[in-house]
Amino acid sequence: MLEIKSLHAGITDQEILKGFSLSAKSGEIHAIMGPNGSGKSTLANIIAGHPGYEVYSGTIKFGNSDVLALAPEERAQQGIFLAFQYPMSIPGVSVAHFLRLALNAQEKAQQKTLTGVAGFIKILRTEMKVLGIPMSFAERSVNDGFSGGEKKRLEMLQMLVLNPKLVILDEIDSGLDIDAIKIVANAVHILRERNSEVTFLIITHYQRLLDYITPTTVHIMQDGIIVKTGGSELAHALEKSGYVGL
Amino acid sequence: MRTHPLHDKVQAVITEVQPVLGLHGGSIELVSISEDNIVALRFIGACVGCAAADITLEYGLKEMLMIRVEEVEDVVAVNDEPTTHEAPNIPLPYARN
Repeated sequence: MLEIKSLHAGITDQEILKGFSLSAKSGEIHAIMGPNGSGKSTLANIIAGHPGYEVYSGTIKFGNSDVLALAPEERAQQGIFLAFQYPMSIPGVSVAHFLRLALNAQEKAQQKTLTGVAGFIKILRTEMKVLGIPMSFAERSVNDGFSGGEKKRLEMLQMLVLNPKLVILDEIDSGLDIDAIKIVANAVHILRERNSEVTFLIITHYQRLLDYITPTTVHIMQDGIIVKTGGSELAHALEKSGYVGL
Repeated sequence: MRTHPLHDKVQAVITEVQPVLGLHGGSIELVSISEDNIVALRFIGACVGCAAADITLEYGLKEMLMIRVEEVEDVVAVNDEPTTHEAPNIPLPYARN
């Protein structure tokens, strides 16, 4: 259960979220749509704990946790996962290394036995097969020289390896062709099949991604707050008439 | 062992990393591949007894072999000698006797 109440936040003196509230139950898929500059990415970054943003007031609760009281890594350890719109490249760090260390860090925080190299590579083989990624991908440096589609595939691979409870997809579909969008949608379906309790926040500009992932609820965001909420039909209406028509 | 279907693929990876270990005065050789695809390697030269050999095996060779040769189930070293340094068996000045 994700509960955001009257969130006011922004960068230094500029308020971007102006009393944002949202409530999502476990297993629900919430799509957040809205024009450029409405605060969608700010919301994603604040939930994940980006240090560049300031929260003036309001609360974010996930399960029993007070999210805003936690450090970014503690949020990740609790199962909050953010797939970036523009993933960073880390030259010199292989995909396999990066993912194993991320998984081990999470296991350590949850006081679980750490997955060793052999066990981890077996997990990686399974997940990469599921996503149709060749194994040679694991030896490449994280996002270094990756195409747009490959970067988003790596975000989805991270998601499946880390097995999160709350997934935020921040414009994951931007710049993707139809095949890559299907891969993202497929990864979402696989995670939902494995754990029906996973909550999704899907931030997008377009109806296209929502053709493959049916949202429980669609929210339209404008100027830092939700101005309209409805079912998946709202996304279709938006596609036809634009934000001005609402 | 040469008849093992994975032999050539595994050997190719080992041949590729040998010069890297050679820079440190050591090397690695393929000893066997079991029926359940567990690769046994032996450290040689300066790698024997080196404190970094375990790390080289675990985070270097094992990862590389298992990524490159998808059938490999695990990679182990068969050296009899300890691959890591052990504290010399000399009573320390502060040891209580």
